[in-house]
Amino acid sequence: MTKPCFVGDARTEAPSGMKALAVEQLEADTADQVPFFVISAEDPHAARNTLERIRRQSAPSIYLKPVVLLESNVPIAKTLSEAADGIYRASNAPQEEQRLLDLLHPFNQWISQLGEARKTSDVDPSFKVLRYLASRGRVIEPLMSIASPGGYLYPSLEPLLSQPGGNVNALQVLTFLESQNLVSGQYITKVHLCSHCACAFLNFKETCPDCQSDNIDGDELIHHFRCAYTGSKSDFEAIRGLQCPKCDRELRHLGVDYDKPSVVYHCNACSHRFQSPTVLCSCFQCGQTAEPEHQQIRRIQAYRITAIGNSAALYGMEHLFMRALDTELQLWAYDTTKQLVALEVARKERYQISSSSVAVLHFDNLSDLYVKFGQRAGEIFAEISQVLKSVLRRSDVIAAQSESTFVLLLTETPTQQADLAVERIRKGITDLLTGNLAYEARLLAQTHAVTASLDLDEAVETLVAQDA
Amino acid sequence: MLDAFIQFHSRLGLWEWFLFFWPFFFFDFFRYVLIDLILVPAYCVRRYLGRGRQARGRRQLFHHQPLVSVIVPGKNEGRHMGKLVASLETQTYSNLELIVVDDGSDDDTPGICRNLESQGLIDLFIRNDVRGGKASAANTALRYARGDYVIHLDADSHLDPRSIETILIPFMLDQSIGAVGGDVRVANNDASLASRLQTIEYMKSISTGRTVSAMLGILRIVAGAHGAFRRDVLERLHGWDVGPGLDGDITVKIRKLGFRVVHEPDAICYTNVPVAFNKLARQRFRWDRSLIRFRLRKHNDIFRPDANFQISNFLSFAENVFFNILLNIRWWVYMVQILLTGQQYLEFIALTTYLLYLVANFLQFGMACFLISRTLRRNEAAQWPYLFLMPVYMGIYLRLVRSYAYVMESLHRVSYLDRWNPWKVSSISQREDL
Repeated sequence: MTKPCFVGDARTEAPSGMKALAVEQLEADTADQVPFFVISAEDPHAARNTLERIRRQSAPSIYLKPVVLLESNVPIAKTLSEAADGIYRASNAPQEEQRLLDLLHPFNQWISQLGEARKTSDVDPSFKVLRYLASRGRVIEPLMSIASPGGYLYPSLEPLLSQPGGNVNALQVLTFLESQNLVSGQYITKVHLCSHCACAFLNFKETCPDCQSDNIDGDELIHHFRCAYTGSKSDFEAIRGLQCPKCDRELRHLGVDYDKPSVVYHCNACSHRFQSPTVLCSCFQCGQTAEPEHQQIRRIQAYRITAIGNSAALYGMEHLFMRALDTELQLWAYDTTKQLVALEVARKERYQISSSSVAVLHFDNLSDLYVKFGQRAGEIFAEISQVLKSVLRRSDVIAAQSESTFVLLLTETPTQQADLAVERIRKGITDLLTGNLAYEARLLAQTHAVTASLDLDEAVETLVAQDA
Repeated sequence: MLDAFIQFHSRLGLWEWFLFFWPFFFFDFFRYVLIDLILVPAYCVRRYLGRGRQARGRRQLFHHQPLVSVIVPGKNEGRHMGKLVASLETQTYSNLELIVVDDGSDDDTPGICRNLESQGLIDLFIRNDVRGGKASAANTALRYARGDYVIHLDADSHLDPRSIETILIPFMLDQSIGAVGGDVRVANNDASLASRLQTIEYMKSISTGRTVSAMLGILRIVAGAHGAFRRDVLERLHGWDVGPGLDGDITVKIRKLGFRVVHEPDAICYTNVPVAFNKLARQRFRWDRSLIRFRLRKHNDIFRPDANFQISNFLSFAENVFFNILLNIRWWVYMVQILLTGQQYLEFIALTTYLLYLVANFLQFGMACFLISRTLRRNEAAQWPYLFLMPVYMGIYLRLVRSYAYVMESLHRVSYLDRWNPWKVSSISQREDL
């Protein structure tokens, strides 16, 4: 871990003496070699894009790697500077490098604690956020921003949750992690959101209770103690200050010779007069108008990782589903399964009597289950495990490639039968989730015959790519 | 006893009779009985002959349908609002707007009134968080009134269905009328002895008294509980001045502008009067003080023979001052005189005085019933047995309260300390001698 590495496309120039790489060229091993990535901040859009593509990687050693912005003439927006881990001032390169090395050392140290797990793949956005929070070890503060329809964003989490088709909602992820006691929230403020589109950009306006027009004017009343004349402020306005139209006295001191007992409104649209205007708020995004009490109110919090969260981030999230499967079925390690598959291939080639199959299962929306059911997701996963158990035989092997991708080695099972088994699993899970919980399960599955040409990693990647 | 009483009277010569009972014959009988006996029948005859004119006024009113603003300033009056609003809903004249001003209530009045406003029963409800006094509340309502005529009501009263129609007709018939006083009757007449006595008192002094004063052209008060005004006239005056006694004050100011002020005994408002004698005393203490404060202090220019001198205003004030203040002093003089000269006949003199005033009360009550016969309620007429208590009620109870009020206001200006107004307003009024 010696020199930082510049990440960017061909158009941007790396600082002298710094190795440059495109995002596509990033690999877990490469990332291990560098203390931090440097990206150009000259074009904020491109910088954000690069940062997102780094954070979108699935290997912890890449997406957790500190990223600093190369200072340029263009001022850096707060949302961008907060999203990155620091700023690199090229003018003073050697000292700057040392400063950042010292600053970012704890992050790298944390990543190295992951051991081999840093090269595996984390797919679940919640888990990625958890690991990020653990590696940074600081409180994640919300930032008020017009860039977010919700009014607040967590700049450092945004790139982590960015997805080509639209970002995962940071607030939802954090709420889920809080419900699992993995992070703890500290109240910052509340925000009114549109009940239709959850947009925070609401226009609060006082309107006429009769015709709902906002074309209203308020008349401040003045009561002159001396002569009891009471009228709107405009009645009293004179060239110099306030003068009573009834007794011509000058009004000097509020509370001593006059007071302001109330305000009366007048509607310019329907001539209605009233004292209590109706407050309505309309949404800048969807245009819907409603009373403030009918809008959503959401707590905005700062988040800090908890001790449980820290250990979950470090030792694998002890994923609820994997734990459930492990209890019911004995979950094999993926690497071991790869070896078992290799053994099976050798066995088949040696005897050539029967055939075995491999099925790859990928739950497309497993993390949504967490978000939707919170802690009760554990019970649902236990049920799903039961479905798998009822279909699989004792001689079958099940392994987790990631939290939502599983590999089944079905010995002595031709692909047609394997397809049937997969169908039964799919049906069982669909019945369970759709029938009982009105939750649409999206299960991708593919079966392969166990042959010498079978590359398990490739099979998994192909299936997951289908999901993307 | 009876023999002794007859003997006492038979022995009295004319001079002695005059000596013992002069106040009754020279003042009270003349002013309150004889004039009533002449003018009440005259009023009824004139009303009968003028019924065609009255019908024309009514046609004009319904032809033009002017908007009428009913303004109700008040504090902690929410519980009365339902009845008042209901009585406005049943009016024969319906082009009304109701403006209620809450002068810093600290009970559930705002909630009640906002509710009525949301039901469309109150057109405009203005809540003043800080109390400013009744005049400022009335002026707030006036500021937002849009009607050609403004009817000022007390919240603890309600109207007869024909009331608004009737009170507006004089304006249709005579452009020189600036204000019309409505008749005020007692709503809670069966509530207590005090309220029964006030029922008779109101019939005598408001229904008859003010009708007669108006005929003589010396009516000097339009009741705050029920009075109609031309809005342009009120706006010329910029509304009411600081009270207490603001209703009498504004009437004087309207008269000073040269407008006529009349009373309409058939436009009826029923109001709740104090049911306990101590509360009644407090109310009268407040009312009576305003005579000193407004007649003798604020509007004493009426007595000055300058360019603005008006004989009718002078007579109105002179009559008021004479019959209230001087006759009050006379009463005390009379008491001293009787104690000095008629000590041995005290019980006969007292009995005779009582009987004289009793007869006067019967005559006055009869006149009042005759005057308001078209609108007289059975439970009002049924109060006649209480006429026997009236000489004591009016002759002693009210007179003591009045005397006390006059002395306290003259010597100590107690009205400026009255909590009826907020202290800020009172202290400015006192400092500037308003």
